[in-house]
Amino acid sequence: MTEKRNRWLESSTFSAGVLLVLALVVMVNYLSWKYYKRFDWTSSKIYTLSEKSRNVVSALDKPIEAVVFMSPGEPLFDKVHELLTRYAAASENFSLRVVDPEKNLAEAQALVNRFELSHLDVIVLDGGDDRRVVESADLADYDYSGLQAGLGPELTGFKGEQVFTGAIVDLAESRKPKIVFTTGHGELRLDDPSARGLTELEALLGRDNFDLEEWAPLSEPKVPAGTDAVVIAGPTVGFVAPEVEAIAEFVAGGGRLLALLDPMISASGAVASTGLEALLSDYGVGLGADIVIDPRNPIPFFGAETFFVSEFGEHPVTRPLRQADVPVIVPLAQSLLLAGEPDELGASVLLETSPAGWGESDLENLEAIEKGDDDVAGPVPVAVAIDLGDTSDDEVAATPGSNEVAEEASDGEGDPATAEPTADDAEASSRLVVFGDADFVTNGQLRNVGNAELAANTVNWLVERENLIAIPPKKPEQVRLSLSGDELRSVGLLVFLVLPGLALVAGAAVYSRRRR
Amino acid sequence: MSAFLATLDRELRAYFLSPLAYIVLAALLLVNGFVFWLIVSFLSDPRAAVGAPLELFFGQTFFFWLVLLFMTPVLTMRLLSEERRSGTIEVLMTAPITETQVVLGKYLAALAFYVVLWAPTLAYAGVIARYSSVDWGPVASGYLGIIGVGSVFLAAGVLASALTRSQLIAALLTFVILVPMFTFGLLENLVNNELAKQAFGYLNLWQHMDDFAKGIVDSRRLVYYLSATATFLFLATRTLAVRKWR
Repeated sequence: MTEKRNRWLESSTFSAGVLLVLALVVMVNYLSWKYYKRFDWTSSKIYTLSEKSRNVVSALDKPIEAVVFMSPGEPLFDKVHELLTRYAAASENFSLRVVDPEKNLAEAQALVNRFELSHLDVIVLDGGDDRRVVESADLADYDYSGLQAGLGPELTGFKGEQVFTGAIVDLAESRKPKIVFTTGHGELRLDDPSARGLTELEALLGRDNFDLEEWAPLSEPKVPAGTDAVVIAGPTVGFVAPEVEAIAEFVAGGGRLLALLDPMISASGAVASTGLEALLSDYGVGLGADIVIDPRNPIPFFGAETFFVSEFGEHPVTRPLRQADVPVIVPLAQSLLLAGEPDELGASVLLETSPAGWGESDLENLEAIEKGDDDVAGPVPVAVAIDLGDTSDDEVAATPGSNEVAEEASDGEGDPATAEPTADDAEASSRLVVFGDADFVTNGQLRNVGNAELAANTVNWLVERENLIAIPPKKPEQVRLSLSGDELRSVGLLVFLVLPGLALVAGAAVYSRRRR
Repeated sequence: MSAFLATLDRELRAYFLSPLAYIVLAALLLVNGFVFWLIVSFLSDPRAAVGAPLELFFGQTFFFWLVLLFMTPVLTMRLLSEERRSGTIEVLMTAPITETQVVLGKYLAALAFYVVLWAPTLAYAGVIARYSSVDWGPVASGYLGIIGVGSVFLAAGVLASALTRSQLIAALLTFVILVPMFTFGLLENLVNNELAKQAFGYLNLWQHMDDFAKGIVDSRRLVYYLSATATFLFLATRTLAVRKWR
């Protein structure tokens, strides 16, 4: 009887122990499913989200669900799924759900109705009260050149991260920063789709959730209310005094200015005045009235006035390009002169030529370019950033700079200390970026190497959205094998005969030793 | 401790001094060599897309899983069932050694042998490095995945071997545990319920190896392998313990 009892006791303790351990295992796995990390062991970090995306997604304070309306058979499905998994791993507020429209008909139809979709093959980023729809066609670049030979389109680039991060920013931000582009001086136009237009830049900044407007200072001599930054993009006619005053007042009040100034060369070979010289010199920046030449960094088939820049200053705007070692192309620039020590001015040189470059001031004899004694010697700065504010770059501030906005924001917060900024305080937060070139942002140039990143980074830095400094392009390791027939045969010899043969020889050796 | 080391030593000798082990090694190399050679020939075709040969090699062909599903039962079938058949298990159980030491010693010997079986495939990476460039990070994570999946499979084999005195039944039982474990995850693509999809996705070994081969190391995979291994080994020790008091 006692033996039976003992056995019963033993077996129940045993079962309880086993069940307890199983429950523990299930719990551990549940926690691991909920809280996990993904590490990327590739040398070029292909499967790692860029710093920008990580900042954006980890700062989410409301849940966003990505609903993928795609069949697993779609060519982009794997890429989209893998990428969105990375976002989900980076934040608890980001989740992912796949709806296969071919198999989950009812669920797909319900969601189509809810999201008011006109077709499938899309990804919906659903933020509850608001959502963004990403078309799968917007996620990739294709090369159609093989079509004539009967081949299908070939995927040349996957832009998923830029597009998704842009959409998440859009959802997370309640207010879009307002950027106004001046008009009336022959500037480059946002609505011009030609090679000299800015439609690509408009799309790029739109993706980063900027609100872009045009402003004609001559007819409306005050910067529009709520403006965060003014962009002067390649004027060909000078500004007049009241216009400059409006801009100066805006900047002095803590506003942000991006001046993209191509040299305005007249027929006589002189450089015409932009009208902005006095304003810029207040901040210590002078325009060189020359064209910059850099024979050491030429672009093949272009004149020496078109060159690439790989000398970047240490600055948040250029840091990603420096790290990724991606140059930018500058077609026809004028040099910039700093009126003092950069530190005292709060200035940083963003781009400069190689030491072999110079600013060619003899513009009448451009057929025979040669460095003269009066020419500015290299390295010649072609882009300068000025930050009059507290230069704590690490602080990610969402509050844009203009007075109106600062007041609006502080009203909401009820913070009396910042409710009425003094003129000094306001100016202390001004930021300016001056480029001696405007062409690099045109449709014809924006897609080249690092130009788009440079443009997006500049505008994001101006409005203090350092967390949106652009994603540097990645260079995945491409492996192309092209073994000849002989080489294939020797590989075959190795894998079919040599390696298994060695194993058998080793086995025979062991066998004969044991027999002895 | 010394009892554990003695078991480990005894089992390692049993593996490496058996001619059968080298036949298994040669067979494995032949199958893997064939897979590798296919991949290299395919990618050397100028019309083929640019691909990563080693990424394809690690788990993205069905051969990989076939080898794994058939090989692990063979490696572990003998471990405990043979002791039971020959009666040496009684000696072992009365010796001053715990069930955990026995199971761990035998398991680690099997794992060591498994690693040795895969080691020669490093030569394939060498071949690729000779004709092209190799990113060694994903190669390392690929092997991490192979060891991870292998450690679970071998632990299942140890449990099966503890359950029966017949080697053949042990091998079949291992196979019966492994096949559902492997196919379970594949159901991810067949179910519609979101929660079920995620749960199956968590167990989807094919997807796991896909990630490892690309160079992605996911903490979820490692936790799964470690906990599944620990569970199987724990159950194996309990099985031995049951025998003790029965």
